Amino acid sequence: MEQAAKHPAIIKTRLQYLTDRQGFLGTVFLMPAVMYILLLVAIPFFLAIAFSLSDVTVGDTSLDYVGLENFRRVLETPQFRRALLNSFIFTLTAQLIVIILANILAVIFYEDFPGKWIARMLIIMPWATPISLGTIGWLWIFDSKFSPIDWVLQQLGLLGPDTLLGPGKHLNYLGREELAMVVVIFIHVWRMLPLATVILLAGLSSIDKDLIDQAEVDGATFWRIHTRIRIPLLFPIMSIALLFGMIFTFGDMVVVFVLTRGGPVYYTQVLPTWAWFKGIDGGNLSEGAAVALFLFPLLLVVAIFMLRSASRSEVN
Amino acid sequence: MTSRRWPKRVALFVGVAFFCFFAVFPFLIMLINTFKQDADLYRPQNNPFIYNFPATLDNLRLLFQETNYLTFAKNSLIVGGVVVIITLVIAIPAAYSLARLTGSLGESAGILIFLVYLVPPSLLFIPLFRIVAALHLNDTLWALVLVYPTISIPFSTWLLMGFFKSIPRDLEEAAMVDGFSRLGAFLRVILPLSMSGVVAVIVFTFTLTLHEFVYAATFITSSDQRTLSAGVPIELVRGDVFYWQSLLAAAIIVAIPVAIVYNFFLDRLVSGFTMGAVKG
Amino acid sequence: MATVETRNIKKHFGSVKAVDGVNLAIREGEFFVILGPSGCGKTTLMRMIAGLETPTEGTVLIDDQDVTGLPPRMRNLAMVFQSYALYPHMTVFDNIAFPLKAQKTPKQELRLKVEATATTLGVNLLLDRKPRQLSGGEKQRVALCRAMVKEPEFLLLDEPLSNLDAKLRVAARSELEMFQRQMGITTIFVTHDQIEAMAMGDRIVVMSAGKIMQVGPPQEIYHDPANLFVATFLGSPTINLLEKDGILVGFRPEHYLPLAASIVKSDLVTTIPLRVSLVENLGPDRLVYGEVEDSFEGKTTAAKLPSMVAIPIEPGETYDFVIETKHLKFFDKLSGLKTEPITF
Repeated sequence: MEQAAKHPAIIKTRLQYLTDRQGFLGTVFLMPAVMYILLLVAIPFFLAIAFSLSDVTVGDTSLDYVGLENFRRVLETPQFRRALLNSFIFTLTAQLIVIILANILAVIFYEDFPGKWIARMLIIMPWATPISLGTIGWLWIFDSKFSPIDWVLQQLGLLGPDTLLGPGKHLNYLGREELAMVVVIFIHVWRMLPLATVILLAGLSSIDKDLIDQAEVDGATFWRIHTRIRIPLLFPIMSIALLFGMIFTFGDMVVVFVLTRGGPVYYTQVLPTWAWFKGIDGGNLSEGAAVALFLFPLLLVVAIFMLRSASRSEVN
Repeated sequence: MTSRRWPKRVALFVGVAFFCFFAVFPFLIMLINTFKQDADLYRPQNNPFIYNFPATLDNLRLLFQETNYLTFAKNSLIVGGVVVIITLVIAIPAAYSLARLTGSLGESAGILIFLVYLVPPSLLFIPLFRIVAALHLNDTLWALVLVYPTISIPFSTWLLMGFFKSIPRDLEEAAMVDGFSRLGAFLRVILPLSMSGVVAVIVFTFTLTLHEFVYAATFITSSDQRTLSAGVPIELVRGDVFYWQSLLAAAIIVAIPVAIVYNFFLDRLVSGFTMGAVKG
Repeated sequence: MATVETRNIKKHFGSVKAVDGVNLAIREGEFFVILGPSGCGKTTLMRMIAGLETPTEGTVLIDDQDVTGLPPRMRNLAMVFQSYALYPHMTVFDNIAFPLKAQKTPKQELRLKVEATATTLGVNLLLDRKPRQLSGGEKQRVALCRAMVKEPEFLLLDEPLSNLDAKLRVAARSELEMFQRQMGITTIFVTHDQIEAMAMGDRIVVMSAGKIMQVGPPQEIYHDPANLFVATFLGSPTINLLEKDGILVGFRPEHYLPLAASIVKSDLVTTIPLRVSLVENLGPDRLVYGEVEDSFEGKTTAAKLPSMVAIPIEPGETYDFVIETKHLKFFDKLSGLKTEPITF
């Protein structure tokens, strides 16, 4: 038994090796995350569907099946139809503007210049700040009586009696339907631009320098290089930035809630805020859930696009 | 050659200035108005960008002493701290598992986890409202502590996954040959090498709890239980009166430190968003 | 010191058979080389011996004990990886000490052992450095220290020389050889480089596509290859092959000399005329390339003349080249296996 003495460690129980076994460790490590998500995301999701098909309210907690009644009722409400429309208008317009501006800004930040670090910090402030707090700043800026922009326009002679934008001394930004919508879109652009820019910038930096050098040797101008080489290569990254932006904007409740509460009247309502007003404020959980569920189809489409562009860019 | 560069430099400068101004404008207003007197602020004909009356600290005093602002801040810090811990404890092992131990099944699980991140609070907040009430957690910070990790875990897992994948496998194997179990190799070699990823997760998770509004506004109704993000817009309005200077001060006090910290960790955070498709 | 054995060991990754039934018995104290092209399964085989992979079938035995289910830390072995796998966040001292920490060695003893091993391998002045500050050769020695400091039963080396540049590689190779001879530790060395294998190995196993092609001492593998794969894998330039009646006749370039230079009696040689197309003068040797009749797949035939053979050889001319008949090797064309000689 000299051999056993040489390897005393070999005689051990199976339990000891659990911490070595790939399968065991992998499962144990993954389980908490999976459980958490199942319990607090999957279950609420199915509950939302259940709610939307029932008559549950804050007062009446019994889940009685009512079929598609809630959806029918919701679809007949003008506020809802406006909210659905607005959600799309705000999201698509804002993202379009963001992508264009982000391209420009990313190209700018690709260069080196003095003070770049500080400039970068300033640029990302809209994204870094809690959105409710940033919107408060804009709430003041677009105030109907005290807006600094109005003051500047007055000084420039563009506002007031006998002026281009007059005769009122104030542009009632949040009280007029079209202006209010523009302001909402504006704020979404303001806060999503940093994220899109930084993502695009990362994409720019990952473009093989050799490609650019080769093009310069071949005599291409800056714009030619940008449009013919950079933009096509950036396509997967750009779509990632775009899709993220769409999800964050489409699902956002805060900007409209803090800025206009959906007003004037209901002209700036979006799906999340309308779901809030119906479900939480109004106590009608089932209708609120029905409204919120309209978010899901777009999210699904976006998620599918993201997966496809992600796998394509990894193959690259 | 130089004559060709000049227009480019000027255009660059103008571009940077324009976008910086666009980004920073509300914060400038916030900063200026923090110290403005009522008499100065509420006169539409006064120049809003300068102090027509002397600057004052009254608004800050009001904010700190006569509102629940500091309570909001305290609540946010508590929630942030606990959520960070929960996230680290759950996301670090999950990320390691997905990066190393589960092969191609792991890739699918990884994608699934990330997709969860795409589900916004505005979809789930109504059923969660009922669940939280059923657990008797409504109107407490614990409701937020329970729910926030559903947002932070997916993204953190994805971020750390990229990190772990970039560590060469043979380091763990060397540690195993040197006498440690897989778990020991993870704790002693992989984790120390991932510290910057862990820090990025901490930063991201903490700022996430600062930003979050929907759940905070839905689950909590008592003023002294609120966090900053929901508390400031909802509570700092006395009746119909907006104490604007304090309100704006409340906003900028949070905005500046968060922006500074974000700037430090930007590259790491972006690599999470680009799903490792781009080496950030 | 340990003996290592694998019995019918297999590793399948889905439908890919990385290792397909390998039986080896490695003797105590021997320097055993696993040689083969990339993808032949040599690294997978080594990893199964180490315990980093679990075999799909078959067993691994160390000192006649079945260790197949055991993790690496239970096998009392040490390994040097191709990348050396030094822990970047630790100093050289901590790197070397790491295995002793796993064994919970007390501080004093640990320090003594680390310093002793470092001195033996000449890295004792580097103990405070971090791995990124080390050169390739230094990293290799530190990796060896880390391996040896725990006095393992046997040592596994996964292509440890391939990351070094050419000049350093030769010096490192002889250092490694002398080290092993001095320590007497059973060593398994994986490489794709046939020169390393021939120089260092007591025995070599040549692998291809997960199977053993041949096992034996270097000279045997080189001069008496069991099949076509081994014959063509070893030897630079590659062995020349002629096809005759379903048999492939092989002869190594260094055995193929001009008639005028041959000192062997004419009835012991075979003459194969060569129409020269290219002559490369390398210094110590001359490589002569050309065409012969019946060459297998029409490939160019090579001759390697030592510089002592000063006969002028011109491209475009045809010369009588001869091989000692005993140096001819014969293989069956279909199976690739060694076969009976034929006359021609």
